[in-house]
Amino acid sequence: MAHLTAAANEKVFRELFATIRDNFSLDKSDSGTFGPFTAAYHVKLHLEGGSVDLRGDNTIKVDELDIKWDVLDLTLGFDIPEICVGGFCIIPTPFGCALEFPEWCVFDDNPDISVTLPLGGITSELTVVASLLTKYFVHPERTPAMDAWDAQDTLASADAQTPFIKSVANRWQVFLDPQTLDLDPIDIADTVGDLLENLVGAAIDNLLWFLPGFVKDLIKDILGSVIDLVRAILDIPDDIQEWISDLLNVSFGLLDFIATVIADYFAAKFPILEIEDPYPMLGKAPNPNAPAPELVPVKIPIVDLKVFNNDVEMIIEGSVG
Amino acid sequence: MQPTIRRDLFTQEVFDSGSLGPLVSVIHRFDCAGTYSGKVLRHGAPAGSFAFIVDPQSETGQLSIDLSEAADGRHSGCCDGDDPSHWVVSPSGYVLFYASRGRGYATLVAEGDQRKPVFDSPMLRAGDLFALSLIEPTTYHATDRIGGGKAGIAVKRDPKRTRNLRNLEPVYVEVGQGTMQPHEIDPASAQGIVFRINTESRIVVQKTGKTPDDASRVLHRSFRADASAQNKI
Repeated sequence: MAHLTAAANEKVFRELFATIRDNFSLDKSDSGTFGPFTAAYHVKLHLEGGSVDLRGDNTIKVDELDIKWDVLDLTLGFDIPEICVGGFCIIPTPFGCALEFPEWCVFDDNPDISVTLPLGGITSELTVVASLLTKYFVHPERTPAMDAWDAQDTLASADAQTPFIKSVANRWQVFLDPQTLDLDPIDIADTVGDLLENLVGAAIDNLLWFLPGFVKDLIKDILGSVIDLVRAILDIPDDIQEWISDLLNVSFGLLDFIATVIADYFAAKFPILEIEDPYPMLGKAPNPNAPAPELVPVKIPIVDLKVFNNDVEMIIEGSVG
Repeated sequence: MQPTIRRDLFTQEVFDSGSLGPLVSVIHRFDCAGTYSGKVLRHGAPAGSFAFIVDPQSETGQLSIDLSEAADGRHSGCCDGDDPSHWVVSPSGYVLFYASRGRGYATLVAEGDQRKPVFDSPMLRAGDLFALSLIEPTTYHATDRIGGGKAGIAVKRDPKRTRNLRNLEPVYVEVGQGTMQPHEIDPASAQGIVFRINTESRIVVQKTGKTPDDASRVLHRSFRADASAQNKI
């Protein structure tokens, strides 16, 4: 039978969950080459909302947890095709061209352009079903010479501080261990096609800024409509919105990456609760025999800490070791 | 990356069949079999040489010779190790002379050891062609400095035609003694223009510098005046 039992009702549990949710943030960049173009993304996101439900089967469901994409910049880089004049047929015949005029190309190299689509400001929904998990954490900055009282009094370095206990004391940690995690695909705004067209148009203008007007006109006339050009270069099907979603979700695997990071964060990075071990049952106290030194905390070691939940509360049980 | 642009393509104001530069070429048919040697002249001075073979067995219908490369020594002809298949043409084919870089090129081509050229690019003859492409939408005058014919050219921006440049048929002008027909043409920007030579000619196309709309009015006036003058004669 457990020597110690503690419980947190659903309201308290929600507050504990809110702490780990609000401490989550992600800043990630990556790039890749996809045949005729390169792409890179930069994302910054945080979590908001979510309804927490303690369930009778010893699981916790977090519904409608919002992933807020504060930054979702997608950069596409590609060469615009050779722009050449000439190449026409001087003497056409029924069997083909008998004599062809040479081509002169406007640029010595294929100019490359790069556009960044600011796709941030969107929200994706996440649903997590998790169970509770305990782990024992031995603080790496605690030296063998330290006893439990020294460890309690020694502040860990800023990088090595855990969320609830700032000292180098060992502790039990309770994590949310996701069993299933469903993340909606990144839902790109349907205006992205117009955005891409405008940005590429502006990039071409920027590329050609130093040219006389009639040369710009000629190049644009040869290139045709910007959106047709982009579709041809990037091999985009009809639905640009879907193409960009696939690029992020599938080609970059951004969706899986974020799901993994969030699962890892809940399960191993940020505990929902920490209990110092040995646990300080009584804190420091003045010595009644003053001026003798103050009384040290009374600490009891905890073993076999278990955590579980039912549909109304989270329960922690442990034994004094 | 800011690309390097071929400014020479857009700054040229004179297009001369006797002084080849960007966007112009002259074409001649060498209908006698044999080995031909050519001299490259730049601004009238010798700048290089080349050679090619006209072979009845060849099925090559077009030999394009870049005079600027021949002048640089990059293409020196059929017999110095270059792939000979590039330098053989059928007697029913055409040899096209052009300069991919620079201006002021001309060529003299003679058969075998003969000194008299069979082709002298500054003096085109019947059967030759002068082809060019004008990019700037403005007006130009075409003049045959030997035969005396004249024509007006009003290049207009036409995105629809320019979008499909490679498949766009060129505008043809027949050059006769003292005449060019039609004497007014309005190609799209970068559309091909081909002068078919029927007499000894040196075609010079010069930008007049008017905007297309203004130039179009000027052209009509000047050529109406020319026509009435000719009628009087």
